[in-house]
Amino acid sequence: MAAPISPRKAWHEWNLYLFILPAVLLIGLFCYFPAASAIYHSFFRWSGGEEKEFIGLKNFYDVLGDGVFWNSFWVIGILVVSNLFKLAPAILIAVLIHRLKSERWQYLYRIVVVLPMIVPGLVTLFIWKSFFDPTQGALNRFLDLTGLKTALVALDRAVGWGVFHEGIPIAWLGEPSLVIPSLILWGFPWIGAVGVLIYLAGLQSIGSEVYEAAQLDGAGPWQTFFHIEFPLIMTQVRLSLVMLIISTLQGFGLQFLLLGQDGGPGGRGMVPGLWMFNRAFLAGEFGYACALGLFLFAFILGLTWVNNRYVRVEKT
Amino acid sequence: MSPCRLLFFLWIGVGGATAGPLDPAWRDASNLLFNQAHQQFQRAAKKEGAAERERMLGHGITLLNLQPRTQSNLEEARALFQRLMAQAPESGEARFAAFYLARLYELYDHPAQPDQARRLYRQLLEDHPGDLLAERSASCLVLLDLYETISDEERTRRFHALESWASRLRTPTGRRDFSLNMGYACLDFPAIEASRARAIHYLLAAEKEGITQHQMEARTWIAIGELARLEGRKELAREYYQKFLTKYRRDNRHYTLQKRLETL
Amino acid sequence: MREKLFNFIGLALLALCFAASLVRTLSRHASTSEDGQPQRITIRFAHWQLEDGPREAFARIAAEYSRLHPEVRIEQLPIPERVFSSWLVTQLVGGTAPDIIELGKGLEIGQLVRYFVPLSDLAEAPNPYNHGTPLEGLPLRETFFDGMEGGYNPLLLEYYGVPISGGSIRLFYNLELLERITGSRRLPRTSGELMALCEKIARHAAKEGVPLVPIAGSRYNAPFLMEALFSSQTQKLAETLNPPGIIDGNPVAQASGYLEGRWNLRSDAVRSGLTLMREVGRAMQPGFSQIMRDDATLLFVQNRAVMICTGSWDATSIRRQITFPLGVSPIPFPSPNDPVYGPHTLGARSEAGVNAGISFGLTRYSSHPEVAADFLLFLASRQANQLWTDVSGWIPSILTTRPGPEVEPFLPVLEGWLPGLMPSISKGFADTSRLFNTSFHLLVSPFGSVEAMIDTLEDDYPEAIRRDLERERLKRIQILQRGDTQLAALAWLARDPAAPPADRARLDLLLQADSTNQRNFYRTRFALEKAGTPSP
Repeated sequence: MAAPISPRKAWHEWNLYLFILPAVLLIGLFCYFPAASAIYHSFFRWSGGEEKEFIGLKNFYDVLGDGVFWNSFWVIGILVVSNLFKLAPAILIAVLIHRLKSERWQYLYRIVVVLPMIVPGLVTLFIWKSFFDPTQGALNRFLDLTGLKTALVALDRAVGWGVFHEGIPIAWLGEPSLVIPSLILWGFPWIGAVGVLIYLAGLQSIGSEVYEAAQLDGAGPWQTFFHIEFPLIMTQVRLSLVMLIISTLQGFGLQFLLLGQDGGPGGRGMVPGLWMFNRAFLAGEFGYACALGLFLFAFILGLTWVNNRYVRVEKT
Repeated sequence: MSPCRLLFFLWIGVGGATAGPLDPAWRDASNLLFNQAHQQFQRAAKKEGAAERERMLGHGITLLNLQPRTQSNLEEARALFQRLMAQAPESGEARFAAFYLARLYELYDHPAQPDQARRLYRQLLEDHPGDLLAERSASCLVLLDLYETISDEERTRRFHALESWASRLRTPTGRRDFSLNMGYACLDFPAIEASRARAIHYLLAAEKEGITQHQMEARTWIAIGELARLEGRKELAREYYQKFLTKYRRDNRHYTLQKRLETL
Repeated sequence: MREKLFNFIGLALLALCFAASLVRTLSRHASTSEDGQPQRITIRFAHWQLEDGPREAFARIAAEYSRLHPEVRIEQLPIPERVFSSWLVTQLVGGTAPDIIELGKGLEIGQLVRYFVPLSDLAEAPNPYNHGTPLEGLPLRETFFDGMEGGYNPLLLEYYGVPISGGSIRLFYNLELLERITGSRRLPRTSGELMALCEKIARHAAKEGVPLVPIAGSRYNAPFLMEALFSSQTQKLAETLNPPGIIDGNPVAQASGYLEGRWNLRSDAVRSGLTLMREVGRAMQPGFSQIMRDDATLLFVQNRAVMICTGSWDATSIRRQITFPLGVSPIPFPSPNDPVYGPHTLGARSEAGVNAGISFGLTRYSSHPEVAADFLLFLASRQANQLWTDVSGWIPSILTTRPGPEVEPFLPVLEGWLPGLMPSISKGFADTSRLFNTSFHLLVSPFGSVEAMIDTLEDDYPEAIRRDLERERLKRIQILQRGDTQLAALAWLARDPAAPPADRARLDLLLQADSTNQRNFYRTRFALEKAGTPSP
């Protein structure tokens, strides 16, 4: 860690700070200014244009009584928990790549994992939307061809879901009970390139002597993973976790594209970000949407604090 | 433009000042550029007499819509209007100030203060017959008095009280807008005695003064025709259906009225 | 060495892309024309009409104008609809906006005033480009089928746009499939015939084992058909909700009627409308409400649906993709003689009230406003509008323009009745619409029903309507407040004997508009108070 310098020295080297000034200005303009503007506008009745009326804390009182907003946290909660499990494939793939003896194959697999990144996220979403299409989608065709549809129908009859029926295409995004499973299923097999690269970087920092010591102690592949690799990449896992929670809580693009501005049938896919969008652009209540955003910000801040406090990484 | 209306505009023109240095600010305000207009009024040099009164008035008027709208801006506008009314009660600026003070009470205050608004509107009507805004007060009073949650009897009583203003209005626009509000109020509140007949009377009166806005003209002609039909006044109904059908050929109400006309 | 070379490939690619975009950007500001002539005036106009047809039409119109005015080059900027609003705001605020922009998307009233030039003077004068035509000498606004209402802003009381096209909703048919299944190309004329046709198609598909649906639906297309048919059932109900003398529907009166108990979701007319919606929904492919416009179009053009309901603006795109003959008809409404749906309906809906669209405004940023205005006049001329309809296949907006045989089926049907209530009262009612949309699956699902939907909606509907009415009240009070300053300013200016007549005319119009706005505000407020929601 860099040693602190005295204020006198820092002032003496003032011209060095000019190098970071452009970046600071840009961050200020594009990150902090919009946030400050949102805080400012949350105290106004504002329909997005030039006209606004100061109404004090009214927007915040209204948020407290907003059933749709608070219910949307249930959906987010489910998605956050499911996303936790979705971390696993990336970690597994990173470990498998890391354990390859040939560096050339490691490189090739890294490319294979990273290459899909060139496809814009929006395109991936559209492709998945087409997968979910009841009549033309690949998912329903796959289920029909493999006979899994029949199994699902039988299971449905036994359990009494009322979701899967013989002869009726599955409406993944049109059936309320299937909305959340579809949101969870999206992105299968959940091998995110960024995650794999982050974990790989962490794994590569583990010295070979640690592996040798583990081998000498008779540790098998699973023991090596649970007792050596996983603990030593916890910093990266924690980082991923924070990014994941923040992006899941803030995100609504997936739900918007797949389900529309109302959150799909029964509003089952309504998440806080989508509700903010709905209030701003459909109801014309931009000031209220800013207030919603502040509540969401407070919530994310709270969760980040919990994560920092309780997901500790032992420094050895 | 009808001769009456032309005379009216000449009349208000005679009463007005010659083009002044604050005209660009007023122009901006008329084009909804409130903040720019406000800045100009605020920055204009303070003078004496009518010029200063005009500046204060413009300042107050633009404060009503200065963005963001805050309670302190509205209070400042209120103070300006009250000062104008106290300084030169007989001036044109004072009349504007009184009208917009009433509007403040009516539309900007939370909760609204309709009694204060009524008092000012009535004062304007009593003191300044023939003035554009004073006569506008009459149509504002119609809405204030009738569109409240009151009993039918009270509403009918208020309606009759308002009718007394009709003969006292001197300007075509004042009579037109007052009559339109009275006429449409009769449609909204059928409990008013002989509401349909009264509605026809007032809508015809409005139409006589000249409705130049197409949508309102069409709507009023249809209303007169329909009400006449319901009242059994077939000739009147035919006349107004025909007027509408001739002028508004491309309107999605055209076919409906055509059918109505055929049944008469 | 080889490794170093590989490392530089990425850098080289980046440098190449940068150089290419630099050249392209710089060449946009080049002052020489293609043939190397000295500087030409360039007029840029932007729009979001990326469907097949409009861009070619604009290109032809631009070429024709340049032929008449060789010193002027017209440049078209097609911007995707999805990003148009944000693009527009950045261009306007940044001061780099084109000379002419299509109005209507993401433009707030303050921006319209600040950045666009009012065209009322242009609207009142004859269009010189109509010289030698039957429209010669007529004020510009009288040359439009809607009197140029599509370009008129009722709040500002000025014309800001020149609208060049009309639009309508139609049912499109795959005539080949239709003939194969029914033995004829006769199109249904009533909703009864439409439903019978759908049943026939479904039976045929089941018998032949082919993946064929009667109507291709989507989140975008389905509402056109379903809402039209629903409103056919509520025409008579809508009439009862109007005060005497008023014949056209008003969302506030309809919402107020619901809160007063004059109608509800179980009213016969509403139930009938929902039943008809369900019937039509069952004729669409399963899960249609989750798919987008293009997917439904694909279904239709790939011979997997016999019909699709969409706008005239999609006709050219569809024609270019199909290999079968296309049939077009207005939406078939229930006949008043229909034993089931007849009692509630008056008949087919009139399309006379639809104003012209694709409206272009002149920005204050134009370096050559006279030339840009002149191009707008050309765009609004009979000659250009003829080109427009011939090349794009879209409905013209200028009178006496001759639409081609492919456009004729889309011309508005003027004879017809007023529409009834909409399922969610008004598209502007955000909460009521959201409630309706999120319960929609109950109506159209194979195991859903009208009752299930009504049961779900009933409890929350009044509160949603109340909230929407409250929002409406707030909107109207804002309009009145805005109008106060505007009216005061105009009244003050009009006191001057030297004030231009246009100011006085504008004042008079504003007085009338303000009266209407006041009445609307008080009606909305009264409706809320009656429903037990006191004013603040």
